[in-house]
Amino acid sequence: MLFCSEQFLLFFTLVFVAYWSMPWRQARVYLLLAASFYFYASWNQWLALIIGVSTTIDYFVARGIDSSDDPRRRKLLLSVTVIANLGLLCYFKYANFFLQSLETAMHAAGSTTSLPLLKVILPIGISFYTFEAINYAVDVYRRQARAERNLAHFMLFITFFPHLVAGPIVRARDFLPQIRRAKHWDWARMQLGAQFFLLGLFKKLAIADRMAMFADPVFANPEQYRTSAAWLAVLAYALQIYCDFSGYTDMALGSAHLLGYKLAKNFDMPYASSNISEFWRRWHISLSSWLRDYLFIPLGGSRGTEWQTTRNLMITMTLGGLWHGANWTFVVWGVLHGTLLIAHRAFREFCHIRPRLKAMLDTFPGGAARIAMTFLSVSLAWIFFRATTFTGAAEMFHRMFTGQPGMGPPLHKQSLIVLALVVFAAHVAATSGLWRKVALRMPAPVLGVSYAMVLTLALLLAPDSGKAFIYFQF
Amino acid sequence: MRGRAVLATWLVMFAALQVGLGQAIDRWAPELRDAEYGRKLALLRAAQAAHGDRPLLLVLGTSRTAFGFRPAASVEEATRGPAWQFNFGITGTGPLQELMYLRRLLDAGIRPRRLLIEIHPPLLHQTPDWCETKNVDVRRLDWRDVRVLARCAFEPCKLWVKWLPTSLAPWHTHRVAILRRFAPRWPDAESRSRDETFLRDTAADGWARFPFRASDEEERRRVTTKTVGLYAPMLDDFQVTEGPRRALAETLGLCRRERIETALFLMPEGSLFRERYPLEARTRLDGYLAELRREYGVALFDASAWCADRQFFDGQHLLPEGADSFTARFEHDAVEPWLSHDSIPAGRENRAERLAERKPSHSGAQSNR
Repeated sequence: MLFCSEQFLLFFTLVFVAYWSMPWRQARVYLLLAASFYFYASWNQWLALIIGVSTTIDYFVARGIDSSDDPRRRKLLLSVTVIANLGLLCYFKYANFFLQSLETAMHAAGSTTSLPLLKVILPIGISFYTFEAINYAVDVYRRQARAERNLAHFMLFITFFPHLVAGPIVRARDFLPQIRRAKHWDWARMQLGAQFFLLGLFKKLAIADRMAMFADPVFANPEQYRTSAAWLAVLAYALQIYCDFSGYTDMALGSAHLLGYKLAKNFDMPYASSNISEFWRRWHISLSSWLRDYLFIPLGGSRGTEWQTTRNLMITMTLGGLWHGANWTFVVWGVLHGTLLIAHRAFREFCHIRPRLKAMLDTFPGGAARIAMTFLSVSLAWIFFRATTFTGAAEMFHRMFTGQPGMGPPLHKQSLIVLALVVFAAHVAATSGLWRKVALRMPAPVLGVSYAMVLTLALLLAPDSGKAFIYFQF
Repeated sequence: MRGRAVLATWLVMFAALQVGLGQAIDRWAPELRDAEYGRKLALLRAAQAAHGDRPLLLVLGTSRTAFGFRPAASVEEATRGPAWQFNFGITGTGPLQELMYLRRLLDAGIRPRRLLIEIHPPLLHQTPDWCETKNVDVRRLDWRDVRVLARCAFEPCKLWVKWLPTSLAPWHTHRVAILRRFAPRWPDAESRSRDETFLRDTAADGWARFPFRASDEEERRRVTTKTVGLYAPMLDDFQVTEGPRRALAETLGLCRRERIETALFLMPEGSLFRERYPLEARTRLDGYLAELRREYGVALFDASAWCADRQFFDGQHLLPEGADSFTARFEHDAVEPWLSHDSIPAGRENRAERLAERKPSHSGAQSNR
């Protein structure tokens, strides 16, 4: 069930009331666990079984790692759990992709063999919970965390419904202690949770789903649209994916706060980034930090030669792209970002020995230009992320960079311009600290009235047909 | 404490915004809730303002009436001066919703001197599998409407449960209509509802031009056969079921209390339609209509065999030329005589009905005009 659906509203209300009615901490854990499995099973009951079984295995393997002092045994158990989780991910998500790619390669080489495809359903959230299980096992192995001795607690860490299907990717050392802590009703926390949820709902209903109305028809048939429509579609998609994913995360954070839990921030105004490195410190923070801690650094990080750093960056970003979906377009998107990161490192070095250039870039116009360039680069890269084929992506670029006739945008651009300005203003207000200052000084009733109006606006602007969250497919 | 104050204000203000919109819609903009009703009400009010104190003859019915009856500018009423007519046929309705719309109009201060109520025979047979309350768009209803419909519904609780979520956030429920009115560039083309298509050509007298036309005879036959097929389950085992019976009784009782002189009428049907009625169905229908006439002293005009097949799109909805032809005859043979005499006790011969009535053709012979 989607966070912005009536079913979730009813489900969450029941869980919330039951949760805060119970005075027993452990009973609350069982309630959340049951609710989380119910939430997951609402998509597919059999896949709920898979997550239950894999989580149980991860629990026992981690306890085995923690209780052993034999380095070989510990490494072996770690390998078992990492391979099992990656194997699960590869089977459900990538098996058919690899088979199809192999078949294509064989056909290109002259073979006429056809490979059978597997009938698999992609378990929702598998990319997220396998990564959580891996980071937990690695943290236990590195002795950065103790293995959880309570199976229910560990299961709740993996399956906690606010973050289960689309993150953020939670670290065990951040979440497990929260389960053991007593929870007390706190009005300020309830307000914070409701605020986050409202923000997410507005981003999803009023902005993301509406931007999809501009982007989807154009990406589906780019050859029918003119140059300006193609550019508007790319801008719309940039807004859509940000508001969709960060909106989901805000609702996840809000739901967690309302239950007394804190999840890590996953977005920090990424389109206000002045370079691509900063973008990856602000976009999908839980994934980028996971890739940094469990892939980039173990590969050697930036500790070696420039060539080694470049290699590690490319491997990390390429696999990061592949993580998003079983399609070569995602791989190319990852490679593009890896290239941009490498280019930025080189440019940074270039500027470092040119103080005048650096000073110019640090001025307000220079900063604005850097932000604009970063946004443009990211938006153009999104074309590969959104297009389902290279032909489609190529057609989009062709439409955008050669003046092409065709249909105008699928919808009048007024709503896109207004909402783009809203997102821009929100970024300015947040990055300048203006929102925080205003919100703290605003009388409580005025704040409450504002929230009521924002909620009403979100409900008013929701398009006729709702859309699933983009990151649910990952 | 600040958190509590914020949340409390938020909840109260949100509720106030929803209730406020509901009230605003009821008072000033009913078309936001029910586009077709709202548009017709606006046209009716405009016509009422233009006609002054002249008595109103309101025609209430289904889509058959909406597309088929094109009122004359004025009909002379012998004793009370000229009356004016308005077509308040609404698409997708039946006897339950006719009652609902009548109550709405009375609550809105519309008080017709006379009322013509369409009887749509297949819709007198409603079952749990097919009934108005199952198919009605609950977003068009307010709580008073639901109360009216629930009295005649098979599963009143289900109707209330279906309606309740749509009533909690009217800003969301009616968002397309609100945006279309106040920010017309924001909704997309796909969200244009079925109502929009039919509302486009609604005239000042309430008549709506049927928007489709068959390209040839073959298509017309195909569409007609399909439409008749949709009604087959109701006709095969036809009986007047409890819900429609109760709704019509309440409608006629209400008219009696409000001193609105009422007559019933059957709109034309194509030959394929008329042939589809089994003999038992026709007998039960005739018996029921006779019962209504006796109990409520109402006239009945049976125009079911008045129009040629070529005048329909699908055997039940008249094309514009069919509407013209039907209306001319209906005015001459039914409305004028009805308006020109005093009320006749039930059972006595009624000149208007004798002129208007034609026996249905079981042999399938067309009535060519």
